[in-house]
Amino acid sequence: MTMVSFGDLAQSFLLKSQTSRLKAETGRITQELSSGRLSDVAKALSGDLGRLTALTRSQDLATGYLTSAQEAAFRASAMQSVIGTMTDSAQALAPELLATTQNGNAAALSRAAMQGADRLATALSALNTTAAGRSLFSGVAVIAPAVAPASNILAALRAELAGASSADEVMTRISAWFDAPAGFAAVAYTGGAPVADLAVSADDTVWLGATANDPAFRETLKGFAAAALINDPALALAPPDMRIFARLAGESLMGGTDALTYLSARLGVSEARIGTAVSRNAAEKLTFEMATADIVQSDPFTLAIELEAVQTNLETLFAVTARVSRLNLTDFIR
Amino acid sequence: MSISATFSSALSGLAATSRMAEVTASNISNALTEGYARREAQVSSRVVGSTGVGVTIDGVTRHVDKSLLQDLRQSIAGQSYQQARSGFLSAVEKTYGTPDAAGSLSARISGFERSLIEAASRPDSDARLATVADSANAVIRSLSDASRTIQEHRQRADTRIALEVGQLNDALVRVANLNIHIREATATGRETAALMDQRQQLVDTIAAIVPVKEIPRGRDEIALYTSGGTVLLEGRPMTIAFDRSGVITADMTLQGGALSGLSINGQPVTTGPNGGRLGEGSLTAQFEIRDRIAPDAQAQLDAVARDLVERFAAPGLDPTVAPGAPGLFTDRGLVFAPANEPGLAGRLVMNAVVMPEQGGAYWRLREGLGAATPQAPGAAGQLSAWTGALVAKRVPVSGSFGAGGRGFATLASELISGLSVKRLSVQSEAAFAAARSSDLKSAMLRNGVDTDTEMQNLMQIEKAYAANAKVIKTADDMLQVILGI
Repeated sequence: MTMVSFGDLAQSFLLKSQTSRLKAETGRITQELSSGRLSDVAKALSGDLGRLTALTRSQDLATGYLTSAQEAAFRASAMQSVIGTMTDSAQALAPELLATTQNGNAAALSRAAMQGADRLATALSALNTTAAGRSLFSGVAVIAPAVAPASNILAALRAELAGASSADEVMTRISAWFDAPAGFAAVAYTGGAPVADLAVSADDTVWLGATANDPAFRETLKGFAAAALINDPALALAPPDMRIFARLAGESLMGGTDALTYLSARLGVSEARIGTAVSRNAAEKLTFEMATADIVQSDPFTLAIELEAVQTNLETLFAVTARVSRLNLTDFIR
Repeated sequence: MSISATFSSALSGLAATSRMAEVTASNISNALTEGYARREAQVSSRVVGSTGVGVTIDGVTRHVDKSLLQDLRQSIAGQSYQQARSGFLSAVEKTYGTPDAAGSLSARISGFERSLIEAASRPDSDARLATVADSANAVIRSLSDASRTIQEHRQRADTRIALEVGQLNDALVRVANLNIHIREATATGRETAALMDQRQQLVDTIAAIVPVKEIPRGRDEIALYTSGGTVLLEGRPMTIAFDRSGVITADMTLQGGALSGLSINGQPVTTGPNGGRLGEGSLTAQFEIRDRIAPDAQAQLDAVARDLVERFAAPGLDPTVAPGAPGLFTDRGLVFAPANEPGLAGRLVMNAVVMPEQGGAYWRLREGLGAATPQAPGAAGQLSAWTGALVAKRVPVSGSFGAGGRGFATLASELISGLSVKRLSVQSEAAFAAARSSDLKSAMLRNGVDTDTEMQNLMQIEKAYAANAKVIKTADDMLQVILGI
């Protein structure tokens, strides 16, 4: 006898498999909603992760360059402040030195010499400034001070000037010592080669390579050192020569001020580019973050609708399960 | 017609109905037993001489849709084949991670690049250099984790093959024994339905391992063939042999002879492609993982590891390194030799000269690996050179990547993308196979016991039993009447 029947297990299998399918779906939706992230990113991208990798990498690099640019900005502004200090100091001393040529009595000359010595020391300590533990003007030798103390420089100059008799000759020898590789660069400059250009964004590198051996600093230090030596007993210049010498020192300081202004302007260009790089890196980081989010973020609105649909399905299924399990002959034939 | 014939008919009716009740009871009690085939008592009218006297039970038949069962077994084998492959690919994909997740291979590579940029900003800072070393180590860790996962899965596949071969041999012997029992029972006219249920369940367990075809032979015996055409049982069971390997490393292959293949009665059998002469089932999926998919994934991974090593060992990149000395990344501390490529991803380590815990120093990242003393703590030249090595467009020497040069991050992304694409395609095949076998299973169960139908039968049986009893009572009354005359 052929019978059309419907096995009990078939019904429960159907209900069970539907229930587990809907529950798995609910699980996925809940997870995506609560984490805000797609549960299968690769699937959303059809397996091609190239774009996502490029975006997250750019975001990471922008963060790195941002750090690098912010540090460069800090260093550049610290350098500017040192240059500013030296310029101010040179501008204050130069008129006094020039004034001594007109009414230079011994007292005025000795005051100028004292000031020269003080300002030389101040300028040298400014050049030894460190920012965040890093010496600013010593090039790649960032842990060493940039210049030797004033006493070393003056001692070296005194030895160099032995036997010089006229103001002109003294000034020429001082100038030569500062510019000669065996002079200032060897004796007083304790740093290393200038640092290489620094990358502050994916395509920008900036120059922050000013060292204490820069001609602008040397020119200014020349003036300070000359002023400090005006009435030095080792030189033993005659008072009229001292006055001429003071004038020459003042002129050297004037020249140094000009060179410092030029150096400051050059650093200013770098600073401006760093500023642009900082804001561009920050903006890029944000853009890449948003673009990444566009790919990996789940859409709460779609998910809410899907959840609603799954919930309705599941409720219907439960109602059907309850109804169907009551529908059996055994209950009716009692 | 005699009253005694009436008695005889009614008695046969009672016997038939109680037998039918017994069958119904058996059906109802097994309503929830999977693999139980619904039974039905076959009855016909009893003929004595040329006249019909009562009813007789011809036997009990099992209702099984043979072709449906065959389809179901095929699809279950196919499903386990796809699921095993998809499981492996997902596991490896998970160890790589998606680029947006912290700790993923891509995130670690860009983290390494970022640490180099930040270190170039403050080359004098030991903390920054330590970050470079850490993040380079993180990249190495990602690669070696993936390599370990792949080899673990090969090992697991090997173990699983040994297990399944054991189950298969065991099941085949038991099916052969049941064949004999059923033949004997049929010959002596005993009940065979329960034995056949048992045999069907055993064949089902075989079908989960290899796709099996059941071919009926005489006297209710069966022979078993795989869908690839290999004999598993024909009268006598075949013996399937496999040797388990202790530890599997990347350089051990079936082709190289380090791993065992499968043999049936001493004859080697191919297990690929697509299951070879066995057909696609759970067993051949394990072979496929061990011998093809996992080694392929490892080869791609090793190609990426090799690219990394060679990028950082390029001549002239670090002028302080002597020719023939290892670069930043080494093969267990030694120079990488192209012949040792298999398994390289699992053997990568940083050059010890930059690792303080191994007697090195971080400043060598800045000064060059061969530098004797720190010279210029503010120079970032070497750090920039490392960054350049990482992003330089380079054509991978090995592995199956498209033509053209690419940076290391892009290469790694292609490695993961390749795996993701494969996983998605296998996963969709697995989902299809699952849906198909679920459909077939549902159809199979539909032919199972329906308690409502059984209850209806039971009511009929009850009525027939009462009627037969009434006939006996009436015949008895009739006899009493006669005897009372």
